[in-house]
Amino acid sequence: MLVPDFPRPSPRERDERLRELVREHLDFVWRTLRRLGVAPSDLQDNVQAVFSVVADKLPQIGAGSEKSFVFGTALRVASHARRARQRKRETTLEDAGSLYDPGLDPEQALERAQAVEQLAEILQGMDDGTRAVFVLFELEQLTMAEIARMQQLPLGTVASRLRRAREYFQGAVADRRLKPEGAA
Amino acid sequence: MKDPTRLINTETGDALSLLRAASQVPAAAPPHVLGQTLGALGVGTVAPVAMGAASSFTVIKALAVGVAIGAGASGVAVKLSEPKPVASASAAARSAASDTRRAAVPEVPSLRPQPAEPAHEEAAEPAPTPMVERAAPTVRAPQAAPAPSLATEIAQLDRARQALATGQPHQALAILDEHGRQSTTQLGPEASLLRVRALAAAGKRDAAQDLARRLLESATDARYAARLREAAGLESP
Repeated sequence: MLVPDFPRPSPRERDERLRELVREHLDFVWRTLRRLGVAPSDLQDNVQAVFSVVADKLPQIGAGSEKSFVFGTALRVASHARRARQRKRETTLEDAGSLYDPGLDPEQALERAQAVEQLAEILQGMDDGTRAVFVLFELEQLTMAEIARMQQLPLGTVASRLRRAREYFQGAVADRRLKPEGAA
Repeated sequence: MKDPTRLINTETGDALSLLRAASQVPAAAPPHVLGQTLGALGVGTVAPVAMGAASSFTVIKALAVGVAIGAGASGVAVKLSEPKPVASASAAARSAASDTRRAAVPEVPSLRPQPAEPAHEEAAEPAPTPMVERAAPTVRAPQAAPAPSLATEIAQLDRARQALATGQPHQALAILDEHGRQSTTQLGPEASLLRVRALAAAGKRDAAQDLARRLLESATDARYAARLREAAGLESP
């Protein structure tokens, strides 16, 4: 994914490339961070954190591997943000508001926000590669071939990671069902 | 190798609820996030023309200040994100602020940053009387009155802007729906502009552009028209 830092582009070319990357991947980063459990109030800061890393590493990001790099960075930033937040137990109304849908009453909106939080917790338990494939396939709805291209992985690896991710997800949901309300 | 069917189409119960919730998070960042992010990276674009008004870069900085101050100063963040208020709206704000009987512009003067440019003057005008400040919290209560006071309307639109600024476009749309249901409104153009932004932020770009085009047909103020186009991502004519 990373290539040697040569030839060096002009500062203007660098800025233009950075702007392009932000424009192209901003929405993707935004929803990925949210799905990975970054609270709505922290989204803006973490989006900036992702693109700050991208800006720092720009010369080493090879053409064609931008999205993969951005996505990998978003996964790491989201993990960090969740840890930094000391795992707040409660889903706030503000979280619920971000998922507000005119068809939902506040209770439903809150339930939905809690579901996002629960899924984020489950995702956090997966290893990085597995989590990446799960998010891209199940939530971002890319095909396995697209994921293989983007992540520069053999298709077989994508398939086995997806299988592992699904098993983990289904197991985690089942475990949760067996636990009493509010148990960790 | 054939892709398996996605879990969201095969799971039931809790697993399905979790996947659904995650699939339904807003797909797009609110419009202001792009400018803020570019600004923070030092690659924000400065508008080449329109120097009579605040440059877009100034707007980005001003908005960043407002956001940094936080939700407690929603009035500040909100007002600075609107450096060029529609004339009728700002005039309305002034008249409402001077009406102490139903007073209530949600301003927080002590937290208000100094205006960077003359274009911000209207928005940053201090509230004229202390009474207005004391009365402010009352407008944060839910609005049920069929004919809202102008101050109430302003507060309502501020709430919508705040929701939008914090990445909650659906919340903003709900507030705007609430606003639109009232029998008489005086800030219709401002509300419509916000609705265009909220639709765009909610990923409903087609709806945002359709609404903007309809509004443009009757828009007489060139600055308002420009803001509509910008909000919907429409090209200048």
